[in-house]
Amino acid sequence: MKQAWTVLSSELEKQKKLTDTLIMSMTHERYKNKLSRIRTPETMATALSFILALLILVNFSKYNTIFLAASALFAAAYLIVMPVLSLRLIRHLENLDITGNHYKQVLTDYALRKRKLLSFQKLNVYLGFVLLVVTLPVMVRIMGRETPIPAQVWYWYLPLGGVCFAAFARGVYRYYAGVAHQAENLLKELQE
Amino acid sequence: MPNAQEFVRVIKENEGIIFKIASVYCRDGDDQKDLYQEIVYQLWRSFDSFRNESKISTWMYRIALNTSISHLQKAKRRGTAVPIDRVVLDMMDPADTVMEERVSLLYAQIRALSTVEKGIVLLYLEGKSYEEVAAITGFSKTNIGTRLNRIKEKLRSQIKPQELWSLKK
Repeated sequence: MKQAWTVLSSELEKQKKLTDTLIMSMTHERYKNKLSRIRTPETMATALSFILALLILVNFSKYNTIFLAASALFAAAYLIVMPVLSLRLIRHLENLDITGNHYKQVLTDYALRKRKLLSFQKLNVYLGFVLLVVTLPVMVRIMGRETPIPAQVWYWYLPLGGVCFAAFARGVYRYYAGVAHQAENLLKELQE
Repeated sequence: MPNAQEFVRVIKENEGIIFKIASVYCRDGDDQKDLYQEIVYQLWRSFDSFRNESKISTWMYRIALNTSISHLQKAKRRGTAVPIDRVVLDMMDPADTVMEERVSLLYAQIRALSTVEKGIVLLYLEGKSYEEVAAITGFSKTNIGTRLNRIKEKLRSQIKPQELWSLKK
């Protein structure tokens, strides 16, 4: 195998392809890509969450029961805090210290940060179900309709929401379990 | 601001290293191009901090391998890339189909290894001593020896007899 690799390497040496212009345009293009992060889906979703949180808070005077007020506060807090934390953890995972650390340290940092992000995203899913429940009365109030919401609405909203949420959560759990397993295996392998 | 001329010279002298690392860590052609460019960008960013404390190739291996790890996360979040023609990444003579087959087999076997193993075996195949591999990866020299033995065993069990014959030709 080493022989084959040596032959490969010597073939590559004969075929220099990069030009000066191409090398420098790579660095400029990547730099522009970093700046374009502001248009990434997570940032747009965060902006939307903030708008919804603002909508909930601006209508605070309409929540005339403790339950409604508490639901509104929970929903607003979730819509502000969770996206910000999510973005921070994603950026933290992406901003590994490539230049200052060894391969082993970068791998360790990557696995630990990935594990943290996955734990957070699992929590996000569970709290998301709570948001699903509290959002309905809050939104009904914002739209100027009377609460309490008739029981018939809850009879279809909760089961339907629960089924959709369970299907979503199951898929999410499987994905997280797989990725978390990879991160744990990586950490175990590094410690051998 | 790093010296662009000097940087370009370094990259051109060592472009094979970047190509091999991109090929080992990415199977998909588009991912390879993306990683290739990301490595060049990260080398550019850290060029100022390279103070000749080690060989230039050692520094490049470290940055390139570390970039490959961070790319594991970013693979699906691609931005635009400079359109490098396939001909740049097809660095083998296309008429040499036997060599191309051996190279494909080689890369396939290495890609099947774990992320930790890929980095170590790549440096070993590049002719780095255990000390150099330890210096680049941060593992101890003894640990490198142990891991390499395990990797060799793993590769022996992975490669089918007819494939092994093909590699030895």
